[in-house]
Amino acid sequence: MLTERLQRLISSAFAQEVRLRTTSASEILVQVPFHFPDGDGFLVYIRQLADGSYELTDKANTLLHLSYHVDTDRLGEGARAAIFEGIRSRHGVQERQGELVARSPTEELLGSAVFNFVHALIQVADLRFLEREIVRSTFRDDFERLVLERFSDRAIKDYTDPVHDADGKYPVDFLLNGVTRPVAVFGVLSETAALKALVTAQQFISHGTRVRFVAVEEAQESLTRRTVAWLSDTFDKQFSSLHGNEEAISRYLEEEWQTARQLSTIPLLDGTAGN
Amino acid sequence: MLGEALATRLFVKPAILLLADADIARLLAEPKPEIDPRSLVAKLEPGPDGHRRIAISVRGDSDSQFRLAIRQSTQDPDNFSVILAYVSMGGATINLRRHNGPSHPHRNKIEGSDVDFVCHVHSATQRYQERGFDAEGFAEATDDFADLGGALRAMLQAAAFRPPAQATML
Repeated sequence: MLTERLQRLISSAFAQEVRLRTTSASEILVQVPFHFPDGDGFLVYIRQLADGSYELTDKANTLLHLSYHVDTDRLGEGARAAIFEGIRSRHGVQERQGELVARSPTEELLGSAVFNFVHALIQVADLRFLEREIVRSTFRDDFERLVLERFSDRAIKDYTDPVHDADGKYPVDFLLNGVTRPVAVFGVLSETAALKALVTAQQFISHGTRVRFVAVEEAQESLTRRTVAWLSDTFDKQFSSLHGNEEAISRYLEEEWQTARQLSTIPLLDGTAGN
Repeated sequence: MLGEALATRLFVKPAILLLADADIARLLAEPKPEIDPRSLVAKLEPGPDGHRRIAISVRGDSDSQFRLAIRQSTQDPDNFSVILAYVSMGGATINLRRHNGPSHPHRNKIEGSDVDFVCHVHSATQRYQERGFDAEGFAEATDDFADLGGALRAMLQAAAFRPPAQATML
């Protein structure tokens, strides 16, 4: 009994949200109860074709709406292109110069065709979140891979100062060691990570330990302006993002370490090594 | 200075930049350079995705960076949006305001209210950001404009763009 009542209630609620508008002699707009993240409704138009079948189209609205928030030209590149193609393939949707189109061979199948089409549109709309989610999930792995691949002979992971920090409370993500003034590299994924890096750097500085500090940030725009300023005051170098900067980061770290090595061989006036 | 005030109000969820209501209002009110709406609309170019588009960078008097963009469907001229976005120091953008055509309905997800197929104005709010929706998830119907040109002119007025020189001479 409960099942039947729920069936009626849910079906009724859903039906009330679906509305049809005749937009031309050959076209009907179906208003569906699904919305973009900004609240605008998805658009589904139904056209009857000459052979009696039906065509469902968004009249290029989905990609137009996507362009309010992201660069839609990038949908044709790399992983985004593959995912976009996968969505179209799974739902039997074609793209015609931005217009997403599906077919329904008969009137009886139109109901399920509309739901399937809207499902595809929602997935396409969600492509805007792809970049941010993937970047966040792989940043740590990518950062560690970059440092370990290029500097495995001198990089110490999670380095702590054995003299001044016996409890290991202030770890450095990677220390490029082997010189009298090593290079400390921090991967800054978040505001919290930035503040931890700042505290650690200040500990080294307060003990008079000579280290060059480098911050590689996942996305500098996600940090507050104040934190970026603090990093700028304390660190010798910041990279505002990892992705796309890999070569520049590697080159900088290599040059800094080589410079430190050369300076390490120059004797000071008291006869000890320099730098 | 706006920059200083903004720094105290920017708050961060992981990897997402958020703006408080007071800063949204101040960014909209920050004086901006003059733009000739007819010239801008004339520069709309068709893209590969079924719509015409253009975007320009704008610097406000307090050095804030903005992006003014126009989108219009090639199939339905009523399907357009004039978008003013704030561009943060690191390059992240938040749409502060959008002027949309009447091609689609809109639902305000927090209030549960609907806007039918009429021209409407999207406004960024703190409460929509805090709930995880798009910043400009709140919209209201308007009769301030009825087409793309009108939507752009209304945007320039609402967001404190200086009027073109020839207009001020009249």
